[in-house]
Amino acid sequence: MAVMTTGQRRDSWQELMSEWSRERKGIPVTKDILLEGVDAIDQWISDMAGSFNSALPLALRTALTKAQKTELFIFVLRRRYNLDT
Amino acid sequence: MSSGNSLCAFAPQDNEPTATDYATLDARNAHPVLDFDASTSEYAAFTGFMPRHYSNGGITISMPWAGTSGATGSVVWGAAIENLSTTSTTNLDTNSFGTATIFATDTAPTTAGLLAESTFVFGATQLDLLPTSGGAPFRLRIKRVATATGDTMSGDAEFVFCEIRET
Repeated sequence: MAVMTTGQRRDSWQELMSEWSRERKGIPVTKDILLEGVDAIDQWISDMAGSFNSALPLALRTALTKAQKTELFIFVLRRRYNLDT
Repeated sequence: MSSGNSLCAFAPQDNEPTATDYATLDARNAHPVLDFDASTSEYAAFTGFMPRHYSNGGITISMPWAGTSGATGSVVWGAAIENLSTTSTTNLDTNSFGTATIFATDTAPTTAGLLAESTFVFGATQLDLLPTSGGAPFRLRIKRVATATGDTMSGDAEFVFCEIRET
C-alpha cells in the first residue's frame, strides 16, 4: 500500500490543525513535530496494511471491501480510546 | 505629541478582510479575535487616521495575541503601513504598502488563551511617506508569516488588539 503524497500529508496536517483550533484542543507540539507525526503514522499504516489484513478472520477478510475494512478499523480504534463523543 | 503616547488602536472588528487569505473573525469566551492560520500566511487590514498631534516620529505597534490551541513554538508576524493621504500616489485599486515590513517573532504563551505581546517599531522613514504633520488616513496590514521557518506554533494564532503609539 503506497503512502500518501507529500501534498496529501500536508493537506492532512493543515486540516488537523484547523480542526483542533476550531475545537480549541490543545496542541502541545510545534508544527514540524506534528507534521512528522502525520508522516510517521502514514508510513506505519502503509507498512502494517498487510499485517492488519492477515489478522482479520478469513470470512471477513474476503467479504469486506478495503473501504469497509478501513471503516471497521477506525470504528474499533475510536471505541477503544473512547473518542466517540 | 510626547513619545509613548497613544495615536490610535484597532480591535478585531475593525478588520477589512482582504479578498483572499484573510484572517477569520472568531470569538473566544465572547472576546472577538482574528484567527491566523498555521499553514497559510493570512492578513488583516485596518484603516486608521493619524491624529493631527502626531509629530513625525517613528511609531511602535503593540499587539497582544494568543494561541488558539498551540502552547509551544513561535509565531512570526509582519506589519506594514500604506499611506492613504491625498499627497500619496496610492490608487485604491492597488495595494501599495510601503516597502518596510517590520517583523516580530515571539514565543507562544505556555497555555492556549494566555496573551503574548508582539511589538513592531517603525522609523519615521518607514511609514510609506505619511504626512509629517499628521492628519492623514492610512492602512495597517498585519500578517502571520505562517510559511516562515521561524513560525513553529501549531494551530491558529489569535489577534486580540493593537495599539499604535508614538515612539
